[in-house]
Amino acid sequence: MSRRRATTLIELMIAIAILGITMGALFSPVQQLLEWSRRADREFQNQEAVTIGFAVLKGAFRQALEVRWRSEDEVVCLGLQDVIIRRREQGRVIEVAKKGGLIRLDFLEGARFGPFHPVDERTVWGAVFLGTAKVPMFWRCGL
Amino acid sequence: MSRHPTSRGLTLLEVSLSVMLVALLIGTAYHLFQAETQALRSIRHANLALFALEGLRNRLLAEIHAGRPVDLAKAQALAADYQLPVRLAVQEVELPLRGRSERLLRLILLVPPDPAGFPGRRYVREVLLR
Repeated sequence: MSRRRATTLIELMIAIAILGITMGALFSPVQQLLEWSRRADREFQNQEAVTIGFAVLKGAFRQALEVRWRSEDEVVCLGLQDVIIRRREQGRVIEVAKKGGLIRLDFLEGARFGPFHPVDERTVWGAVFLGTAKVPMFWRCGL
Repeated sequence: MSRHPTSRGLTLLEVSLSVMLVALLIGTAYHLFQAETQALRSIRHANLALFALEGLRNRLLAEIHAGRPVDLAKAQALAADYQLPVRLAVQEVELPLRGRSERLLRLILLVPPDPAGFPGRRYVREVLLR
């Protein structure tokens, strides 16, 4: 009956060395993966909310002929159909209300809107905070 | 039941193969997440460009509409109000439009290349000076 040779010390040391090098090389990427997975889903939702929100607001202003500033939290886009834009929850939420419907744009942690300020009969502005960026956002009626 | 009557545990080859496969798996996952990170970075910059370029364009249009003179220096001064993690540049260009030469202000959001090797991007919006 043949007997199988046992693992030698050098083989064992090589195996441990390979394992050690591999685990050491993988430790940082694995940590990054775990950290990333915690934040990525939420961040994609944030950015999606910002993109959709921009499109809805731009659409409301594009279809308007004139904008009327009512307060730091409310402006009205006047056109074929009037659209009321309200700033809620310290600018984290924007409501777009028109006849027969209300769109609630929750920007989550993607963007925060500062108070609206009047510029002229077709333009209002308000600061928009996107992460570390601060954009003085001018909204203007028409194309 | 063991494969071999005298086999005790895994051989060095099996251990090495297992480690290699696990490393391949994690390496692939890491590359996938890197691609997602890059996608997220692109979306962030695209959103930033939407707001920054549209906002500056509308601001310049409001200035023009109000009858105030707008030129490159003025546009650059207005662009300086934007606190952005990337550069917002303004150029003045002349282009033949509708059979005659027209002056345009070109607003450019410049996203530099990523240290990880991903290329930079340019987002552009233009304002016609009348």
